[in-house]
Amino acid sequence: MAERLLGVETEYAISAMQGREPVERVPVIRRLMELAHATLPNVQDGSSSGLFLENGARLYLDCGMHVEFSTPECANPWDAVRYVEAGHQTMLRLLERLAGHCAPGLEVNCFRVNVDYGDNGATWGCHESYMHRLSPSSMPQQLIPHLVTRVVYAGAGGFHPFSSGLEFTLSPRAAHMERAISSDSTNERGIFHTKDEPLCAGYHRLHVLCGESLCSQLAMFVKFGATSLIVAMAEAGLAPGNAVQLDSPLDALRTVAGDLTLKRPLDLKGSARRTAIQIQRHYLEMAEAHRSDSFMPLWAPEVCKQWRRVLDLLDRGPAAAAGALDWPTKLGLYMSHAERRVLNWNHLRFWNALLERMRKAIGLTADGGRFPLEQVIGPGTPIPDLVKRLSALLSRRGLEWNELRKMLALRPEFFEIDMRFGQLGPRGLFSMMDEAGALDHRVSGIDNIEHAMRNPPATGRARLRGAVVKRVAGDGHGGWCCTWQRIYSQRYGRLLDLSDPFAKEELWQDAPVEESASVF
Amino acid sequence: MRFLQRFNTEQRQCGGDPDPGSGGLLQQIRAEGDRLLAAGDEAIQRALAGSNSEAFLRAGRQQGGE
Repeated sequence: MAERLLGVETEYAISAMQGREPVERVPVIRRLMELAHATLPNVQDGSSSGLFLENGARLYLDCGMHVEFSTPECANPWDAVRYVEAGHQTMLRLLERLAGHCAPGLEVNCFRVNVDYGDNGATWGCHESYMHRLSPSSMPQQLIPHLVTRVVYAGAGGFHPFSSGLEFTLSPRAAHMERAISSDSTNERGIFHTKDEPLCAGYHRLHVLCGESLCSQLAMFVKFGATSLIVAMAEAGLAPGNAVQLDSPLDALRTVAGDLTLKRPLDLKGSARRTAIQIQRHYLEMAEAHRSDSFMPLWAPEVCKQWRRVLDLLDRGPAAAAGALDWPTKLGLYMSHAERRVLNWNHLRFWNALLERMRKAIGLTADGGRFPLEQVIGPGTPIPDLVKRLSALLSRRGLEWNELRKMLALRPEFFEIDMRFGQLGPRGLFSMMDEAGALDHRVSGIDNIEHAMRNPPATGRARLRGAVVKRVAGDGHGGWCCTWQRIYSQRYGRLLDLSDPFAKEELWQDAPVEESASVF
Repeated sequence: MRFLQRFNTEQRQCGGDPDPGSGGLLQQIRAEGDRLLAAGDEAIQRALAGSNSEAFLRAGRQQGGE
């Protein structure tokens, strides 16, 4: 059976507060990274100011002051989820240590979330990497229908970041995708990212940037597992995406992200239409038919089983998947919270549409910022005719502007709840619900997170990297540096080439000290 | 609760058992759903205790990454 490798990058959002006042977070984050260098066994990252850890992972400060944990290369989806969670635990330990180095009362929070609910349109990533040998140019056709439709189980859930109202979406990140295919990761992001930086010899690396950080083990497991199997089928020449080519991938993504019923059909090329779940079933059935083929990994049958379970749950509606997947769980919580706050959830769609109409009429940018309702509907309104018509519409429907005022007043509270859902530590909603035994998201075999914090996966070059880091981390005189592909000691003039992703032995080479600058 | 009411409607549309009293599975799902929402409500109360959402969101403002 074929071996495959995959990895996950999690960019965290960090905030700092003193009592109820926001505190400048940059110095806090820098202190956190200093503590990581000082307290975690590590070798200096040769290509940045970050560090490689004894479990083979990389921890560094990415652009936008996002601390990023990149898992080691993993050979199966159990390990991929395990090391994502090891990253969370590593961050939590660092935050605990940080508390001892900060002013009393300073609260530093760390979130698994990928959008900012301010009006600055910020987003950051949770990227996946899948090793493959297919020509990169043929990948988009095979992968895009999957990346668009996997949102039904891989969406983080939350609120549309550019809406003036309160618009639940399966995937807040989807709003930041502007193209079907793009080489850019910071502007005009594409559903399919064409970056092909293999970081190894003999393979390509599929880099997926349209995904989101998740809390549910089941959602992560199926996301990583299903995508791996589709890459394997594409590599084997089965062309799994050919029969489900989307007419407009970007429009389809917007449709899937906004469809809480999971029943809206998507236009395929030609005249056919399929729902997101039907397209996922197309991929699943092909994977099931080939699950024991030699090009598939040993774990293909278990991934297919969980993949089918998830789609069967979703076929029964979001409520059936609440507790198992992220967005259905959030949807249930937010509807329940709205009920407690006497906000009619079923009216939100109407109010969102009404706000959108007024926003367009006054020429306001769709940036998710606060809507100036009183100026717009007050006596000095710039759009008196429209406001008059809308007031008449409300009257006919038995509604009042006060309900919209209430929704806008509660908007920050819902945004806070959404950020708190994925917060690491005891104030995180998902953590609290998990602790209370109210969730059903765990996947058998994803355990021993503590072990994964200190030890690398059992296969692949990450095993060697982790072992070396563990061995030399205390050798401050060795001038050790590490990248994904090499470990090098300037002092000893020794180099370990890890460009083979499946390297099994430490084959050290002599490397002249003067070559050190060109090694990385 | 409304979420579970919606679930019942979906079950009916899918040809499933709409009567919460007659199906063991549905009763179980309803019980799990109630437990989930109760735990969620409690978690939200604890998370929001003493919090000022506007200040929280200001503190959480981020720059783009990737």
